[in-house]
Amino acid sequence: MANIEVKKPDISVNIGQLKLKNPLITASGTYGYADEYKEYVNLQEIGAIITKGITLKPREGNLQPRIKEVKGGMINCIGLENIGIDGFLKYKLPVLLDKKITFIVNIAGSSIEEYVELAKICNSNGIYAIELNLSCPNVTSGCIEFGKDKEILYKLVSNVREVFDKTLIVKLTSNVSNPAELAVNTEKAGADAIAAINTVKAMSVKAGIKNKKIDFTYVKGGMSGPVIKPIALGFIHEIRHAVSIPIIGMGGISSVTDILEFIAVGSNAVQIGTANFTHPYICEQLKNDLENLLISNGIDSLQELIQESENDRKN
Amino acid sequence: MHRIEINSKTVGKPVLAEIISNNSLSDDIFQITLGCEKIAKKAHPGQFVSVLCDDLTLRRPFSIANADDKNFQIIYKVKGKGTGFISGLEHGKFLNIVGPFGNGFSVSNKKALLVGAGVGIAPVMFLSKVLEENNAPFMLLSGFQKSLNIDEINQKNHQMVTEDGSSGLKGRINDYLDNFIEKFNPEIIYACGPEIVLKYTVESAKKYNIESEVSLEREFACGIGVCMGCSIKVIENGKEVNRRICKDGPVFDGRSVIWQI
Repeated sequence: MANIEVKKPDISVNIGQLKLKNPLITASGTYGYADEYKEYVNLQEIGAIITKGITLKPREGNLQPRIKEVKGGMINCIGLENIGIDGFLKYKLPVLLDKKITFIVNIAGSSIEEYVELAKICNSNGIYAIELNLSCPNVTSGCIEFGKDKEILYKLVSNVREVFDKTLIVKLTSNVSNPAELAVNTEKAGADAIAAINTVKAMSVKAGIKNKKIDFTYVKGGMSGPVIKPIALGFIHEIRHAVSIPIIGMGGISSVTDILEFIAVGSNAVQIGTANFTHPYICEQLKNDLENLLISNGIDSLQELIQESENDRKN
Repeated sequence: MHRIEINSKTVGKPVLAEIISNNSLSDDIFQITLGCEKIAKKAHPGQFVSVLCDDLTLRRPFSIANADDKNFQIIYKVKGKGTGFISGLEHGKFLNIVGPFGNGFSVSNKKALLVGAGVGIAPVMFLSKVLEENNAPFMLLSGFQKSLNIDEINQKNHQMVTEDGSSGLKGRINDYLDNFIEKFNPEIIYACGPEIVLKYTVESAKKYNIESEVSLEREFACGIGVCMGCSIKVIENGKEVNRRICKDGPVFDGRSVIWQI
């Protein structure tokens, strides 16, 4: 019997100047500096890998405990433990470049000046895409505070835009009351794309009674996993109409149907986070699942599907 | 036979391991035997595997308690939903597992005292088997709340301590440790169990100027060194540094650990 060759659909996506083979991007903090996953997946086959959040100086992170599982997800309060930009440039960047892995560097600062400084360093060291972390809930200064105020957000993103001429993504938090305004200012300030949502502020408590009093321990931090998917979908749906730049959706994605849901509300690409911890091979799996889903529905290109979805939302 | 240096490339994609047996050793402690040549052959004492439990978000890590060419074992205490799920599985069912992960105990011919408290018995039991195969001199000291019978432990060089006195010596491991060190005169102590037992063991080892290796535990999400959930501080070359229990450990030089209790 003759082999019937099935033509693979085109699932490539453009984010700013970045041309991604597919819309699957690993979320910051869930993929280390990429190399750690080389035994599980073909790293070159992933749309893009976003590094652990990098700061100007190395950070030791928060005290234990840092992780707590909750129903349908987890809470983390790592506190941005990372090797710092110098360590990244010296030890991690050469590996990413050498192995031809498509990557995006996530940067975090405690002042606007720090973000600008980091962006400058990235710009002059061959880093072709950055994601601004304006949404980490686990550090005492910076990050989420910049992502909550529309004026500060505008100033920060536009200052970074001035010194970084490649692909600029801004990662937003859902812990705000005015998502659309923040999204609009992100676009106005010159960002190429919005990534949303970061983890949701939450708390896990373990309580019992001791000496007739409630005795409890807790972990406070950012919640991720399937439990936040409805929050993420709602957030993206709310900002989609306000901006025209691509939105990279994330929040509990672990199946191809989840990806469809995120496209339906206005995402152009997706990030996979917590699911990487449980299923280290999931990005490659989802890429195959997405291709197969398009094939079985006679769709040649993901862009068609995204376009149709946009038309539907407008009508 | 068992390599000490673990090549990270030896880990691979998740496997479905068949449950050969799943027996209770006491009210809440179980021993499960899983058929998986790939993991069994690579396993080194002190390493762990991560098990997918039903629809829980995160995998559950377990020290490998024993391994031969085909099968490996885990000893676990039923504490929550994950271990509850595993305890309900019977022969013929499968578990989705990744590993083995981490750096295990060093294996040498030094005269060794092995200390295992509660389910902390798992990695030291595996170590005892390897030491026995290597004809290395060792003594195993185990501690439980009450009597427990594990067939795989050679009773010849094993002393059990139980809190209720239902088997072996009555009391806690800490009550007997110094006595055992003086009697047996080990060159190295390997330990796994609750952190308070490990801390005490390392203090005793220091007192008698003996090397020690301890297997630690923290909650983490990934098991492969990316989530940074299990990062702890240890002393290396006189400096405090962050190390990940899952990737840099779980076994650490006892003298390097900065205890949080």
